[in-house]
Amino acid sequence: MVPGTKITLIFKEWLNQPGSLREIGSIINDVIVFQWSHYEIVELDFENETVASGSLFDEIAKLFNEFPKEEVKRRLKFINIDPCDEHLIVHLAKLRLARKEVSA
Amino acid sequence: MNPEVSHKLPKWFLSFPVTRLAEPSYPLAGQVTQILTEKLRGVENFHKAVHFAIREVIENSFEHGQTDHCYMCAYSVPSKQIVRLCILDTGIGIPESMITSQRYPDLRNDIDAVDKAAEYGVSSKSDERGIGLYLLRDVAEKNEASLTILSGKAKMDISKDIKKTLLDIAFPGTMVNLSIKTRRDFYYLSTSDWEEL
Repeated sequence: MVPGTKITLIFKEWLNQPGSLREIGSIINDVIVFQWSHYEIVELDFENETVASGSLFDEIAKLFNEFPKEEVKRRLKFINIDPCDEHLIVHLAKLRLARKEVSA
Repeated sequence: MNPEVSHKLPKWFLSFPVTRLAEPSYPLAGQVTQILTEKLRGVENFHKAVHFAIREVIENSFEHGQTDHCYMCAYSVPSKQIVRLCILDTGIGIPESMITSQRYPDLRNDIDAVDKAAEYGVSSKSDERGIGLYLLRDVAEKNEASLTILSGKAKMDISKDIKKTLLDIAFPGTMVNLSIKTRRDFYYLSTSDWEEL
């Protein structure tokens, strides 16, 4: 990973993939983790399109299971995102973090 | 698919007629939400909650119901600021799905299965899933909406209170019925931003 580097990924390119929304979310999770090995920051551009999928966003929230909270917050950014989608991701992240705390 | 506004119902209804869905169409939830909520005034959270509800329940039908189709219908009454939607499949049903998974051996009956399925992190698929029904339940409870889940012999009516009924005859599949009204302090999830996490 090269410090100070950033890659922007267009979110809706995944939405037309075959498979359930949870499966698509899992792929996005894998892509983020892969890109983190090359770039310091991964930015998801939602192009102002509403997603509203708990299943998909929960797969992104799983990043908090694998990585420290502050690292995920620092290295994953969202742009042009519907505020309610952002709130949904945050809500799911909080649930994951709470569960992680209980399991620790 | 092009959802249409029905012209057969009284003009104060906006409806999406009974439609067979052969796949979890990604744009459909947004299209239906727009039709149902365009004449509803009030908070934007409400529209997002409707969008989310449609998306999640359709997704659940295909992912857990082991079915290749489901049915949906919906309508709104702008004068009453209310949206009603119903999604139904004739798949294996929640109780069968939960029992077959063998992940929850303490389930005594279909009511236990549906109740369990609506908990956070519970799924017939694996430990790392189980969001849709939980979030719908959360929205219904906090907004005094009316959520009914009917699957197998279990019927759960969720609003501010929860009523559980064990039926004599099993429903072959799953039906989710949601009736939700706008309100000034409509709750839809956390309002925190990513940076505030």
